[in-house]
Amino acid sequence: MASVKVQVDRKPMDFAAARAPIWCPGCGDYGILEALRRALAEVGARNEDVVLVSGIGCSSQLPHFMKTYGLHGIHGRILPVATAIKISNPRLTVIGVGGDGDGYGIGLNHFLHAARRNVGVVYIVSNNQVYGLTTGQMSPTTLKGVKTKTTPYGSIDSPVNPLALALSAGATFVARGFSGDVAHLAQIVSEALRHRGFALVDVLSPCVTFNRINTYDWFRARVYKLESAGHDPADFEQAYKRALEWPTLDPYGKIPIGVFYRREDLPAYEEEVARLLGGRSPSEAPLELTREQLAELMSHFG
Amino acid sequence: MKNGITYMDVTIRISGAQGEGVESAGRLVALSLARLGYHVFAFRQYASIIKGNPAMFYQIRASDRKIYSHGNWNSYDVLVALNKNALAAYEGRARYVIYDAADRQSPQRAGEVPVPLTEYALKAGNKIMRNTVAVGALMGLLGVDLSILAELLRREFGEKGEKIAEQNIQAAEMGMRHAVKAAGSVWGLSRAGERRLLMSGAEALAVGSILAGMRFYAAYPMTPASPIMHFLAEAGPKFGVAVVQAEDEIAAMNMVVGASFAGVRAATGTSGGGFDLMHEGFGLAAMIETPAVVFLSQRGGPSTGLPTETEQADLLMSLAPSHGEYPHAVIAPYSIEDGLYAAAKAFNVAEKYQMPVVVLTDLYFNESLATVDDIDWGRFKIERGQLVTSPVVWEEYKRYKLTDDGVSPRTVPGIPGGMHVATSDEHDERGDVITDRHLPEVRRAMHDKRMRKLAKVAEEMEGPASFGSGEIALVAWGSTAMPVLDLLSQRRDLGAVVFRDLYPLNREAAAKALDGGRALIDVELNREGQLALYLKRELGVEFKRRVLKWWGEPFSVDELSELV
Repeated sequence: MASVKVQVDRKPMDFAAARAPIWCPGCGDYGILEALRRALAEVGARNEDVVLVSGIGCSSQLPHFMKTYGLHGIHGRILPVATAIKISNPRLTVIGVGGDGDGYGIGLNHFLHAARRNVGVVYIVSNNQVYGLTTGQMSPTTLKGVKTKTTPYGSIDSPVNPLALALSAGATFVARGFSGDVAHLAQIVSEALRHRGFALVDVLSPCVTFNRINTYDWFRARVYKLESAGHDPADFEQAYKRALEWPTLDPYGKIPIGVFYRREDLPAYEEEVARLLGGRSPSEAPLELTREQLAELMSHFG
Repeated sequence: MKNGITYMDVTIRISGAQGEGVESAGRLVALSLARLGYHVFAFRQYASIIKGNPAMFYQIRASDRKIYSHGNWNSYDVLVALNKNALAAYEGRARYVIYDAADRQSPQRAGEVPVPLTEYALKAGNKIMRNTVAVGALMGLLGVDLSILAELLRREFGEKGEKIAEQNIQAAEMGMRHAVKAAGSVWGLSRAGERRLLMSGAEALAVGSILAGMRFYAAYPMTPASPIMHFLAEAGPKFGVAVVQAEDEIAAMNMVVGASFAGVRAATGTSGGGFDLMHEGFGLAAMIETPAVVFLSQRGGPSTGLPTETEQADLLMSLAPSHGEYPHAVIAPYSIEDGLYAAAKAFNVAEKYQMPVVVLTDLYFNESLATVDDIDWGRFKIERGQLVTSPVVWEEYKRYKLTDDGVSPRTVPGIPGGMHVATSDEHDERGDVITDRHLPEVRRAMHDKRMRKLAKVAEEMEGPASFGSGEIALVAWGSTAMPVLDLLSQRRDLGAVVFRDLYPLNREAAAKALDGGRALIDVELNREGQLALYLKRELGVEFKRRVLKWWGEPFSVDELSELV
């Protein structure tokens, strides 16, 4: 990402706040936190230039454990907030972090619109297939047939496919990681941070308290890496086919992880906004008008 | 035209089917009269349909003294009827009636000015120019020189090509010549002064915002707030204003919070239904102490209600839109010109006190056009309050530091050391979430801190403006002040108290303005008398009477005069 300034020798712990995470021991969110810190160090980000935007849910607590700017907003609205921050000041590294309920349930609308706008936001979704903070209800990614507090006889809802949705909405970077493989996840997040435009990183992130089905072992038995399978992330149709491999009704279906799709040739939304504004961002526009601008403004009313 | 006692005051109603050119004709007439130096006010009555509604109208009033409203419902000087329906609906109230000669065999009474609108339009090149022929005829009656109209038509149609502009001028000229021959230049209007600026209420809000340093606007289309976005989308980029058409109002409100968090002055605009969707984000702005401005432009509610008709029924909602207790402010401009200043004030209050502010208007305000007097440029001073612009020490920095006035130093991303999390959960002075424990003392202190800001804001709120000195005082807020102020120039027995800075209330000034032994009459466009309810609750004020209206029309001057 063009906005990240290279600095020497940044370490993951440079991004750690004084406060320790409050997640359950073993929560997949620890893996995301560690991968994110590593990726930020890897791209040499400066603390004050990073903004983490989260919603509501366990994973949305993440900004509190980071020494960066953060906006821990309301449920489902990560992407409108993040979009506006990026437009306002494109020099910032803007990262959205939230759960599957936040992003694929209540906030799904915004997800599709952020993707089609291609706004330069990295959106990391901690996908644990359950509502954790509200103590274990069905989520939009809960697999069909799974029992939760609100689906005691097994879910009759089909799960959403976030990767296929992102691709069809026009996302220019679509990836999936696994909390159980932090090094691989950190690599994906680094690539997302360097991407021009919207980047989705869906993360298989087990909830050790409320999801007894989709556990670390369950995922380990199913995931495979796209880069080892000869996948070409420049090929949209291949990417879409891979995206459809999972979720599936096949209980032994394989789950691809890695970068499904990426293209760097399309302008990011904040670039398009700046182009309309004559090559500057709103944060660079002076607050006061010049005498000539004032005359121009008032000329609309004669 | 001033003869020492009477003033020139002319009211014109142009009526026809929606899509028949009433809108553009109305604007053309209003602009022409403003260019001649008259005070102008123009109001458009229409329906939620693109083509149809046989008798929508544009009512344009011009005077050589200051006016605030469209004037009277029941009598006007000229009716321009573009079809038979319009003619039948309104001709009884007009002194002069211009209509298409094809619509009636022969005049039935004095003052009728049949003009072959269709015939002349076809002669000029296209039937679509019937409205231009009618405007020409009207200008003939008013005695306005063709050159004023020609200049505007060239500007209006210049983009479509010189030929179209010239055809329209020809159409207007034929109409004018015909009317003058038939009825004479009845008003003989000459130049009254310097050209005046003519803008809609929505445009006044947009201009005020640009002057106030707003550089981000996100909104979802909704009548009657959309014209704010239309103007900003067109003119904004030149001044660095990013305009985002959001996917819904929830997104728009949250975008405002995001832009503002990044240090850019930001606003959104909507009507009641859209604001309903914004409530949660509005509360977020209050909780994380991030400035935000919402232009809430009322229309008839509830639900979809009356999408294209005016009402003032969202006052009580604007006083407490989101759940919980939190600080915010409500400002309701009382004239179109005041929209410029109200917007500027909203941005300063929002940023100085780090809170959301509602600018409360309505359809009558947003969509009416009015000339504005000399603008007081001194009223657009930008005050950013406790905004921190240089590095701070991260270990010591407290974004939500407890202070006497409740306002804490605010850093924005990019400022070294200023890193913090703005969280919608209850938090401590550092911004750390506290909801994973039971910390009643922190909650108590932080909630107090936020609410303390209201006392300081109240000091900045202006008391109501008092007009006239009659024994009876009409109490109004927002756009209803416009016909009320016009009524006062006719009725010396009446006074008025106009509320603009509604919340938090400047209680002392409000109590003083309402005290004085006068009989108070509440005048509002809602059924429940919401201002009266509010003032009774806040100050114990008793009203002698309430004059209320809730069927989609603003008050007119003649109507008010009868009612009070």
